[in-house]
Amino acid sequence: MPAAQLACAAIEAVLNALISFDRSATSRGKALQSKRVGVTLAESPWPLAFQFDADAPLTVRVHERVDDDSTPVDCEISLSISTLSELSDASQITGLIKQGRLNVDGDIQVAQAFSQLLGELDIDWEEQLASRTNDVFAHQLFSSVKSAANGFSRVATSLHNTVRNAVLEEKPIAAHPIAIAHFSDQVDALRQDTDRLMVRLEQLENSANSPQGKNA
Amino acid sequence: MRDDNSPASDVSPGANQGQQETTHFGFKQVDASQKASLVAGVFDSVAAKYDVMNDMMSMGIHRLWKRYTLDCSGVRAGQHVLDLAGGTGDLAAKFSKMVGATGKVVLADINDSMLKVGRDKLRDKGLVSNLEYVQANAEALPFPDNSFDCITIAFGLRNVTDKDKALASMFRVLKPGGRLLVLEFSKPTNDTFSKVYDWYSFHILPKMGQAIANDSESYQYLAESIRMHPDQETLKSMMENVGFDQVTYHNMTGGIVALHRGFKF
Ligand SMILES: C[S@@+](CC[C@H](N)C(=O)[O-])C[C@H]1O[C@@H](n2cnc3c(N)ncnc32)[C@H](O)[C@@H]1O
Repeated sequence: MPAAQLACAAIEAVLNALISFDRSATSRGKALQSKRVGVTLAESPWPLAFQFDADAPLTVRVHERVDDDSTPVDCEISLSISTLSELSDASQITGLIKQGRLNVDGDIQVAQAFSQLLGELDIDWEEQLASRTNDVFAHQLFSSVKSAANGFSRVATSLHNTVRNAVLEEKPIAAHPIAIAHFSDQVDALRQDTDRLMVRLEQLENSANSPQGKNA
Repeated sequence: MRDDNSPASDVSPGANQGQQETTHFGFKQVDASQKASLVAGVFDSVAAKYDVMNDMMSMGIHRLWKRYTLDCSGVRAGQHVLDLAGGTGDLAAKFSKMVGATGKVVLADINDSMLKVGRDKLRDKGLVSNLEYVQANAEALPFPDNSFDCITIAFGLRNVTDKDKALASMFRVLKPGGRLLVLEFSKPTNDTFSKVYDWYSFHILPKMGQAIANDSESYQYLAESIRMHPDQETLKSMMENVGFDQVTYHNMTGGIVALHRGFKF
């Protein structure tokens, strides 16, 4: 199966759906009309191009740049997956470039508009669903989803901060799969250590509370 | 009963002058002059259900094959593109967006019913300004020399009676520097996979054709015509023979289809 095309089709479908759900995205994306953004992810074997159509409402075509594709791009962005989430904050771009974690060739304003579009996609999912089902159902579903999502986003934020610190302190930035495997081994080892420590603490506590311990 | 050696050319000239030229229509041998109308019959009868069947039969994967074709086209704003044997216009629709208002896309097909379905579909999508529809035979394209930056023929070459003539005609209307992309069923590269695929094509496919389009014969023809089509290397040399340069092909889904690409310099 043409895997790159499958990936592109999925990204394209999601992105276009998001843009169309978020009413303000189309107006904000004006700066991107007719623009072509090349994106190379360090971890991905396929260099991609995001081609925005000329006419409104904004739509994008995502495709693999096959070997001899020499179609010029307005802006070429190269980065690694770990930087991807930060790209959504357009004000971070200069910082990321300075840190060498992001490479932008060409029109920086296009890069900014692109990252803004990704970052500010602010979709009222409840309204989207309500327009397809009914309000009560949508509301109930969304309150339960929201509480689950809140829990999830807390975990995600703390994880994100941990990763961010690790990334800032240690270069190179891109995490190699082996490094990730090693990392999870270390986490396992750490968990075992803390478990042991807990048991040890309990033991100490018990012995401290026992009359014998008091004498010792 | 099956002929596994793909012929380099579709038409086998009769030994004697007075004898009729014959060609294959699926596994049957017919007069070369008849093939076009037999093929027309097939596409007349499948036109209305063509898109649904395409999705069903390939489980949607034909969309990815076409996507790869688009990715290899290198087509950009302002260019002229010919989608030959374009049928219901899947590729033409995408090209229309890619070339924009300053470009032009010609959707050409020999069959009026297919062309009509295509035209209606593209109009419904709001694509009009840069699209033209031409009823044309791939063997004798009604365009001046050096007209197009890119020509695609997707799942069409198989149905053409004289493939060499058609390839030469495409070469003629292509601009120097332009490229031809032939997306077509080919020979699976893996033996076991090939067996499964055969079973699917000859047992499941015609039944699906019967159930969905009430037309098992057309889909039987489809399966047969796929087997009779030249394999990867043969098609490559056919393209080189009419003048194409830097001809390469890329197998997809285990060689079920291949995308051939050649340039005119
Ligand atoms: C299987 S359909 C492919 C349609 C479309 N390209 C797609 O990929 O969905 C094959 C098309 O080839 C057309 N065709 C067959 N013989 C042809 C010829 N000699 N010249 C031009 N088109 C032809 C048929 O009418 C039919 O629409």
